[in-house]
Amino acid sequence: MKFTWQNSPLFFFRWGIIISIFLCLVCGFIWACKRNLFYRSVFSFSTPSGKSVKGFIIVPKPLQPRPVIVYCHGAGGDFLQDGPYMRQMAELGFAVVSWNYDQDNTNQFYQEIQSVLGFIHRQSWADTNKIGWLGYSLGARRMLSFMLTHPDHSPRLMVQIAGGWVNELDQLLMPQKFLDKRFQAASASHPWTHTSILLVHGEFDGVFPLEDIRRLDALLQTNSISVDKRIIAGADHGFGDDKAIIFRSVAEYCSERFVPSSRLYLHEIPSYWFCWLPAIAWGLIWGYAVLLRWRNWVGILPIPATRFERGLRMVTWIAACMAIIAITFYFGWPNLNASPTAIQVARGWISSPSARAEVSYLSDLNIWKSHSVCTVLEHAELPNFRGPYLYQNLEISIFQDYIVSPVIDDISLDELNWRRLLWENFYPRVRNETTPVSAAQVVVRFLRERVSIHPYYIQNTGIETIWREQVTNAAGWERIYVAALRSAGVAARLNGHHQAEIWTGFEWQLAPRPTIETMLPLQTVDKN
Amino acid sequence: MVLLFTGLGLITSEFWLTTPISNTVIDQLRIKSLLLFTDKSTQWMTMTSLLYGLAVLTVVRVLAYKQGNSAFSKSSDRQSRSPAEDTCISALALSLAAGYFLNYQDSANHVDAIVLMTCLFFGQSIGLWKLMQSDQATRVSSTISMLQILVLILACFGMFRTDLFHATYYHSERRWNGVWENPNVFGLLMGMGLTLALGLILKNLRYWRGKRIRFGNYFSALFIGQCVVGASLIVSLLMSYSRGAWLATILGSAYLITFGLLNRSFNDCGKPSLTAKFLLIRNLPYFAILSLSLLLLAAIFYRSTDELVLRRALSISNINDFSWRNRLTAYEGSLQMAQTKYLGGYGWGNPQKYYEAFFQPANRQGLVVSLNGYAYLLLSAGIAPLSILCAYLWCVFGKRIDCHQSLDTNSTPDAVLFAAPVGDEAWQILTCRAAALVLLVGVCFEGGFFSLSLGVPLWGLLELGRPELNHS
Repeated sequence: MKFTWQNSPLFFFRWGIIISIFLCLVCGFIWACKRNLFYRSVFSFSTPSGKSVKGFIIVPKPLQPRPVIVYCHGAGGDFLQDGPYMRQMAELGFAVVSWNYDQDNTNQFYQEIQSVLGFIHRQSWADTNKIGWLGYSLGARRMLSFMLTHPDHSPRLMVQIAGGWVNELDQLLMPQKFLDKRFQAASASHPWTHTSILLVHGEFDGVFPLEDIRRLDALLQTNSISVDKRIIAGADHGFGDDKAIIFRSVAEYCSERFVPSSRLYLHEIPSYWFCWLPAIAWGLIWGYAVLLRWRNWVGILPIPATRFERGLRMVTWIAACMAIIAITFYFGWPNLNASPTAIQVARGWISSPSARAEVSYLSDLNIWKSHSVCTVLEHAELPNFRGPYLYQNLEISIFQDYIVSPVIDDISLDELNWRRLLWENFYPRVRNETTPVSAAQVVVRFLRERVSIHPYYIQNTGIETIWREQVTNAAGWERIYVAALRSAGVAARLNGHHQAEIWTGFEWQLAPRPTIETMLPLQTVDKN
Repeated sequence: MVLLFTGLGLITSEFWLTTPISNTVIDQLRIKSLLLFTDKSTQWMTMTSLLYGLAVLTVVRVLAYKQGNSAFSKSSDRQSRSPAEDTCISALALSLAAGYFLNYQDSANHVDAIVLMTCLFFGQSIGLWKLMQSDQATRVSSTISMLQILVLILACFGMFRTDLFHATYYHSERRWNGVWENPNVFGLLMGMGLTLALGLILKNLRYWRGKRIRFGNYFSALFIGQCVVGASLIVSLLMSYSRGAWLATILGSAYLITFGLLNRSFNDCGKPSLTAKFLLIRNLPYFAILSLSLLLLAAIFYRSTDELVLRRALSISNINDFSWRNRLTAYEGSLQMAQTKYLGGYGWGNPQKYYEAFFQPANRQGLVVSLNGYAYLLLSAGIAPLSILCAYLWCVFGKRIDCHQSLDTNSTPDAVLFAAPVGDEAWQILTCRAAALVLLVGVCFEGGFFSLSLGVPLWGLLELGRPELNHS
């Protein structure tokens, strides 16, 4: 090769970098799309009156016929504000559709919802036999009005969250001869006998009084409409921080009626690392090509290596060998089986100094058969990430037995690799809390938003399985509750009644309870 | 100077917009000027004015190039500019404005589009100012003087302390933020200043090769002053604890050093010293492997060190550090969002709302998609503006920097200082490119396109880093 500057390795850099950036972007795009569990789309439609309306769809993948929830938000809101609740319902296997409806004009709303229903019936991802309506506040009232005035569009299930009395209901109180024509026909044919209604209302709702819901419940039952009622104790119109739990519980109720064809496992998304193979392959090829060019180029001028160069090369290879050995040991050793010897080596060479006492404590538990050293290290190190930050002076015995220890009950011994799973989810939410009680309130709220309590769930599973499946029974709930509290740095245990209790710093007291444990009916429900 | 101080005013806008002013007249003026950008009823006027200004600048520039600069230049030198760059700028401005006006009701609730257009306008003003210089030597010396003043002012801002903004801490150590609210923005500006200072120092170092440094003259005082300013910027950069700024500065400096020291165009034009560069390239892989090995060993053995700067730098390898993991999660979400609406985007100001509503994972809170400026531009306005921007960057960085005359190494430093030989322009362009690269990398972490503090210097440096083709 002729010695020119154009042949130097530098010349090859520009295109190599550009191609690398391009491939990284393409591979990253494909990777992100593979890990995308939902199909999301903005849709727009025009009503018969010519008004253009925008809405949003969120459907779990794969796209196949799924039960649909049509959602109407409250007054002053839009589908963006309630997007997290829509997504929460989609996580349980529903296709959720919402739009920014006209909040001032009832007739316009009627046109819009008819257009939306027509749109849904044309979609391949919609199981048109399983359409439910969910309304919150003003949206609930509008949907109820529409159902009463357009009985031919009645859904199989309607959920009214913080709804109230609507004027159309007065029609149902009238004798037959005084009924509006629309209601006469409707009343005669009983079109709502296939409709079930779930009423969810806060006990101290100041916008739509609870008394209205009781009247509504009585009236609907009188008219042979199947009604279920759930009064949330202590809640107001907005439900405060528990709104997400309300929507989760409602979605569970709907799921019991409309069994989705498949559900999502949000807590176990595959890595799809193979999407990055093209970029990795290009990187290796380009690096090799640069190396070949460099070798050819360097060989042109036969300048012998200076003393400095020889020393540099020796130091480089020594450092490289040390780095390879260190990385192999640091990343490979934790994957070994957690024998006492392996744990002791990890304690001395891998774990941080602040966690060594906990490593010794965990090693003495002798519960690590079939688990890896990494699991032991996580149980020791993650509680020491900030130490017992929720307590002023926490005894070492309480810290180790009720925060560090993974032993909760006998069933929890089968699955011990839950520390990082739960820590990554709960610690960021409680790291600004200052007391164990406030932290526990945050934990129970978020845990209930992620995990359902099913009264008929008979399997007794470990914590990892509960978190992955997102459903458990009452006993399993207490088990994972204790685990979540410990992962967040709250000392917790199961009491004699198999309920979670926390150490406040002075005494043991019952851990905060979720606002709603379940909305599921006590009897089994006809799913057809 | 007007452009320089206008630019500095825009860079420090969040300081003088937030500082309480007792003078009611000035305060009223400030409020009213802010309303031009934020009020829905007047924002369209601001955008239209910026568009009109850009159009005027483009037309003036094109006409000036065609007429051989006779309108502005006394010299026979005729500058020319590739039409691709003008096309890119015009297309970018039009695509941004199209998206803005088509959905004005939503767009006017946010200042993103206005800020980006303002930065674009400022950059093109710098380009016109370059054109108006009488000859190449004046252009180069003016630019270098401007850069020197900018570096000095940045170093002074770096040492400034104010309690106007909420303080952020890293392990009980307060992160420096100068006159900016965000320490990451502060770090990027310090990194940009440091790269500029490094370029100016290296430019002057060429004169000292083979000569003895004589203290007492103006040139040596200037050189020493540049070194002191550079050291001050290093301290400010480190105390910002901004990993993005550190990475961007390293990449910008590496670009400067690689193309500055190893390319024959920048050293002795026409007289490359092959041996030293050959030895450097021959040992480059060993330096790379040694650096990587030491970095890995440091990450393993010093991950719990009490030295905060080192700990911050090595935190990128800490799996328990949520800051970089949250950013990666946000990047993933922005790619998923792009899958849904990559043609027209979600509209100005809407991506964050859609992300929080539908794309943010349930087990994460407070993630922000606007931190990656490229992704935010894609999600706000669609793929067209982003593609045009990439094309413009290719036009700027892809153009080769040539020098046309060999440097007279026998000249005294004083003579060289005032004569500004041709080789200095190549160094100035390379320095500006390197500094722009710092900000372009920083855009990945701090969304610099939509921030006056970062966008104004970025677009200005891109114009200054664009070589002119001189025809006698």
